[in-house]
Amino acid sequence: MNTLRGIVKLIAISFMAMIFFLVGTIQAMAVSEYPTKPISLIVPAAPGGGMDVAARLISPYTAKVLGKPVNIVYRPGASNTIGTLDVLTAPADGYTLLMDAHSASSLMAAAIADLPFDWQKRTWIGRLCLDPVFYAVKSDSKWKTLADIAAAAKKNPQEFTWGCGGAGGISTISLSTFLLAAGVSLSGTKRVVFTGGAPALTALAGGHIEFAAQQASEVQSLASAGKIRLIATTLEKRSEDFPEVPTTKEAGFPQVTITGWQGISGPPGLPEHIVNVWVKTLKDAASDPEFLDRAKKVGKVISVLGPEAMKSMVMKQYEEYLYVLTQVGLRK
Amino acid sequence: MKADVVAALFVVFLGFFISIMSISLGVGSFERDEESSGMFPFATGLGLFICGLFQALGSWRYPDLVSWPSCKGALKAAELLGILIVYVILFRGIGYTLATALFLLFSSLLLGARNWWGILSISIGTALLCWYILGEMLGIPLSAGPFGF
Amino acid sequence: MISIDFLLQGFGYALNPFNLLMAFLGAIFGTLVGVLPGIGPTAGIAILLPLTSWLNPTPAIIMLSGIYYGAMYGGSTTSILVNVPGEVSSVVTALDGYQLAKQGKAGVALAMAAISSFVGGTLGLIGLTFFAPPLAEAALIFGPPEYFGLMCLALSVVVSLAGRRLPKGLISAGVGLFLGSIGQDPILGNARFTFGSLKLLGGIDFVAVVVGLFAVSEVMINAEKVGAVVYQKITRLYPTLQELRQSLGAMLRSTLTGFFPSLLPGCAPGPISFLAYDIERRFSRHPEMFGKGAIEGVIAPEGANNAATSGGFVPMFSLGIPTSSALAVLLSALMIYGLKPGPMLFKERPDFIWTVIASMYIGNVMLLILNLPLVGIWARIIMIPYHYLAPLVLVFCFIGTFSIRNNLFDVWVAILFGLIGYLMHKLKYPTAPLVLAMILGPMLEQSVRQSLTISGGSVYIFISRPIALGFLILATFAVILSVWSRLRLKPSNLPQSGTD
Repeated sequence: MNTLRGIVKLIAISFMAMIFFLVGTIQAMAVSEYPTKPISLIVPAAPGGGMDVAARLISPYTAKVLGKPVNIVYRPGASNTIGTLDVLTAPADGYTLLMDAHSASSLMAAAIADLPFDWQKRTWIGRLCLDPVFYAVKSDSKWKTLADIAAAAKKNPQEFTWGCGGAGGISTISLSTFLLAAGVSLSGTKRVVFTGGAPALTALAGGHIEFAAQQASEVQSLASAGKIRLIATTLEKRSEDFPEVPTTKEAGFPQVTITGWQGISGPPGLPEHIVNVWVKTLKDAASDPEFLDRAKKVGKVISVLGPEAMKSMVMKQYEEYLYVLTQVGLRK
Repeated sequence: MKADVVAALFVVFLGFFISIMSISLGVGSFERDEESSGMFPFATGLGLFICGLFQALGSWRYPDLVSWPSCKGALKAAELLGILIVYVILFRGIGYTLATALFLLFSSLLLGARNWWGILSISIGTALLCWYILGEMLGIPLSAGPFGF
Repeated sequence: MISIDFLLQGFGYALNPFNLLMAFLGAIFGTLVGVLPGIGPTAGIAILLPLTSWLNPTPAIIMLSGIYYGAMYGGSTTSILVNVPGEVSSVVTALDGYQLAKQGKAGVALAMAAISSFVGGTLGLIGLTFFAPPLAEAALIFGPPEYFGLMCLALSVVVSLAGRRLPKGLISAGVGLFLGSIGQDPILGNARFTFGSLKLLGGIDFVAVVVGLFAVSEVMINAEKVGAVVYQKITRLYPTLQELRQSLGAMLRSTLTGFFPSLLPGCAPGPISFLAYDIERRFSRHPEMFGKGAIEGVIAPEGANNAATSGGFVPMFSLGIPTSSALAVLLSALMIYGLKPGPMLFKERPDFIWTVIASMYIGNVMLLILNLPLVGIWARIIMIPYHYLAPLVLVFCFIGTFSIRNNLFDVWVAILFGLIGYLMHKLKYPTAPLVLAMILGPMLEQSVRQSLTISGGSVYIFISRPIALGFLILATFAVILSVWSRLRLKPSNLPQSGTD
């Protein structure tokens, strides 16, 4: 009986070893052709946000082009740091990539002073799209232009109530930059912080705050419903959905051009041929009319940048945001 | 009962520590521009401190009959927790399916299962089923073991 | 009424076989997804969102909305059977539902949950159909001070959940408040109580805590007496007609409690179900039964959370404001199709919106028809010998907590709280207040700080705004009432908490 058991054990072990080696060999062969298995696109935020929408735009397109599924994996937590760190420490084989955004790079680093990892150590692949910011007031507000708001805030900062959708998010930066450019002393004003864009805009529509700024997808519905009025947008030229809304340049504040953005990054040391595959995919997407159409519907402005341009954009933003956040007193 | 008083005193200390930590976060006041992260937790810590004192006093004078488990019973509960902890530790190492199967095996044995066919079929069957439904269909990233599943 | 015409037209489209199939698939998938603690309707909708690429908007939205509903039905099943709440809103259902299951009345609990969900959901939909626009407008009046008042009212429920032991209940709530504040300060963004850990910076996930506190600790407690009977034999599978008639009042009350608060953005279904539970307890002739297996304790949260599901669509369709993360994903689905929510949606695409609403009615009926016969099967699951059932439950908990954020950290939290729950049970500390305080704490804190910023530091804002003041008075009243009734009654008649 013992001998039989021994033989069975031996066979089992050799079988397992065989499979192990087989799997290893197949993996080694796979390096030359990318991709050979599904790719995980990590979204470091909860579903339903700006990053999610961008991920849902690019992943089916890429999956079609590359021939392998691109799975969206959510890893929310701690202002995008948890998911970002996961990707930055993942193996650089091109199968774990990051849905990057201002909130996972420049803004994140500017807002959090003691990040436990080096946020710059990543492979920049490309920027996909912009998420323009719209400044808004309640529909029956007496303020009609950015200049009106600037004047009111300067005259009576103690009573000026503005709302941010999130502690260190894009709305805070947009609003702070504008107010600083207008010469308003931020510390005297009433800055009300909400957990997200929706509560902030709801409070605006209900008259509990007087001024807010959020991204296109968030303001769309309330603006169409006539509950809030859009005062300006940070785009280069006027939005097609809201042609009557002037740009910040036209409104007299050309230095206020904060926009959110989304793009793709990978762990540090990603092989060049993988980066090139993605860069080409992004460029092709930007000239595909169907893709552009879908992007327009969800309020994203497609504006592709390659790895070098993306990196310098991010660095420039980081410096700007660092300055603004220190002024507001938010940098920790 | 002594355990009850000890627990209440633990709460008192907890409240104390929370209050101290909150003060370092800054307590501030209601005035504008002086709000601070520590205000709310400080109130919580203070509340815990006070309630803990009340409870300690109450437990000492009127012992609440707490149902302390027998040694054997508590040991069983601890063993179960132990197996669970081992399961989570092994999960990344040997893969979800194998870890789950082993966990089911040992915990059913611990809880008194004796029918070997039942134990093995439920352990292995459930593990494989979970892998397919959750891993493949729902896309939850479960670690694959050395065999690829 | 114009709405009726459109609605009937909508039914016409909704009843076409393909749309019916979509509603059915959505409901089933939603139920499955609702059962797992970690994956909620948000993730479920997100997973199926790619299907929008090749489906027309109407069937796609029908299916995705079906997921949302189904999840509310599914979450209560495991709450009742094995004390594992699948959704935040199912936590309250577990309090009495699980006790009923242990008493052999799992079938009754499950059936009542399904029926109450149906009543709540359908009545909520009627509110949506006829009153959507004015309701959405009215909800805008709610600002931070009003939220604060509402949260205070919800927090006052802690006093009744504390049962006999007020100091222990308050301590439990205090711990819950503390746990809720671990992580990033929601307003200033700095780290609180994280000791430099990135994982803690993300906060302790509520679902992980609940799974540990309720399910894991329960298994540990039952492990002590190996071979003892955990679930009594099933006596009855379905409620009697008399029971149904008696429950009608509870169902209607909970619908109201669930529907109105859900119109407010950010008002989570969790506190709503606790509130409904408490209101039922006050109306009940046997308040001491709550926590030990009162059927109203199941009816109230279930009716309320399904009414809240319907109510959540009001601001979503009327103003494009999603009141929960699942609705936010649904909103992005709408935008992918170029459908902008708002009064324009009702005017320009009545065919779409009314078909979707009509199919929600149908979806509710489907879920009821699906779930009632299944009650028999579900109830029998717990008849599996406990030495197999308990490990399976733990495996389920593992997957459930892991899939919250795809992070092992949450699993460890669940295990830790399993131990804490075990100790709390032994020391007679009620767990429900901890859970309630953990959800409410952050909301309470945020609304206070927002209100004080708006008022410039003056507390007067809470008194000068009538709605806020009203809630605060109600909350004080509720607390006084609870404490007074406790002093008045004999100790044996006092309401017990679930851990006794």
